[in-house]
Amino acid sequence: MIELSRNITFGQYINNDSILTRLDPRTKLLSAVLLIFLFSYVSSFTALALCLLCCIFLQWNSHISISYVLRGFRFIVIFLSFLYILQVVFYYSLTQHTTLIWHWGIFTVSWEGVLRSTLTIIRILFLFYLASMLMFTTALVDLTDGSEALLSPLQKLGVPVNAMIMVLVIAFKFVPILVMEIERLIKAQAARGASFTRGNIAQRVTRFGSLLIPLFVSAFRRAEALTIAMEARCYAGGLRGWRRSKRREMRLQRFDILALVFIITFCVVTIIVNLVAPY
Amino acid sequence: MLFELRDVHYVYMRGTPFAFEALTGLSLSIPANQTVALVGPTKAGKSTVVDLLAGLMKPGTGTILFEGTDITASSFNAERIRSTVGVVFQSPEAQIFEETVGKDVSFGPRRKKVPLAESRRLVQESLEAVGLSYEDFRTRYTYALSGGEKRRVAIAGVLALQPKVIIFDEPTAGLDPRGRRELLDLIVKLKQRHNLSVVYTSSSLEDVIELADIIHILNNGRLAFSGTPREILARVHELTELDIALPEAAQISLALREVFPTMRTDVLNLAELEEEIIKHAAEVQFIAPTKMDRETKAQ
Repeated sequence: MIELSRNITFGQYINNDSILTRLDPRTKLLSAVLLIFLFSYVSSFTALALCLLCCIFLQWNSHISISYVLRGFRFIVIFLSFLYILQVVFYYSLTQHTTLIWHWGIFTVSWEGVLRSTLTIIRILFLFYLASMLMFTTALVDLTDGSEALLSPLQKLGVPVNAMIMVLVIAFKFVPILVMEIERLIKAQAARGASFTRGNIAQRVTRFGSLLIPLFVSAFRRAEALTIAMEARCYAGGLRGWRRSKRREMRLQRFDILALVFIITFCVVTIIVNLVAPY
Repeated sequence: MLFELRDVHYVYMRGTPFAFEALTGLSLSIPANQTVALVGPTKAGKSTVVDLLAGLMKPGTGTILFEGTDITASSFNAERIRSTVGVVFQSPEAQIFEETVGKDVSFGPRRKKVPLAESRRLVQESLEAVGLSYEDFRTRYTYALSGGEKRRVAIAGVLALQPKVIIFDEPTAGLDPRGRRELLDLIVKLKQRHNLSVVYTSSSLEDVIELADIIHILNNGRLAFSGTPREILARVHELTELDIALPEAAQISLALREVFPTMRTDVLNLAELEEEIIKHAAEVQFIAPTKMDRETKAQ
């Protein structure tokens, strides 16, 4: 009953020695960025079908069970369906002609609205998939090293890339820790008579509210301990020109170049398809 | 029988790449009104058993009988187990979640919708039972308590639920020797006064050897063997194989086997060890001093 970590899959790294895990993190990040741009740009269903093919290809190469990946979608699907309904019902375009299907008071459902909203939702699902796939196949350390390497030109312009990356990493690192913390709190409260599985939705929500204060308190305490630990180990992210050295240097393999070329070709093809076939 | 576990399996993160089988066919029984200790190295599945006994999780497969009823049956009401069984979790930080001691201890009674006056009495009694003054501690902030006090408050929070069974999950971890002694004494006192059944998990035998009536040794999610403290201590070699530290007296006794090969290891405390040594020393003949000894004496 109380095993949240089973259902929260976002941000977990699965080291199964698949091709995707062995790629250089910079390759993976670049590909992810390219694909994210592509998926957000694409607007025809034919091109989206190509994107789906791309996802299937990634999925096949990752050796991660589909049911595990889909489990992560469970939470956002609820949220997205809510968004979808709102978007369809309140769709309004100034420039486009809209064909009404149904309307009642201020609520209208138009053919264009349905089409547009469906596209948006599909895009979000794709983006979520890409982001979670990147996390599944890349260790946190690699992710930071990769993004630091890619963003290092900005550092020269005076943007504190190092520090920003560190903040991101810590934020991600805290997700599973906080999930475990919630589990512990639920257990402690359930053992003393609180019930999280019964009652109507309103009652359940208020009960989860009683978890938030202790959760924040413990999060702040953890953050404090972390600051001390970082200071004790001479972390100086705020200093200008300060750079952490690496024990392990990253090197692009021939395979990485191949993967990048493949992704770029795929992007170009999909953009062309998108231009040629508007539906 | 209070609890009876039959061939219980439990897998964490089932259906994910991180699946981990914590219990692999555990069968054991826990009689009422006794102190039962679950001892095993880390990853033996102790905390999982605690969660199962407290009704916080249901086993993957296998049956758990609570006072003769199967808790895995869908008709079983988990509230029944939770109102009888209280748990003191591994770290008190995980257990105390309200801002003030009074609010935290009264969490259980409030959830049970106990009237205010009654709840206040329960809080007062529970705090005093663990040796904390009600007037002084009621309004204290829980975050400012010391480690030992936190543990006491956590126990008070459980006592306020008026349980018949209390499960202690490694309660002495991280306490200094004095805090540890006090906590163990408190557990004995509470057991007698409230007529409780106690389940106590620990990774070493030191805590439980004098406390427990029955000890179950767990390993790899299964029952390795069980018995009374004396029976357990007699199986020294199996214990060392499982990496379970012996209590001090038994360790000394084992080391003394080099001198007295027939030395018993099932000594529960230092007094028994002393008796054992005296008994063996009487049997051993006095060895004549060597030449070297005489020379040093002459100097």
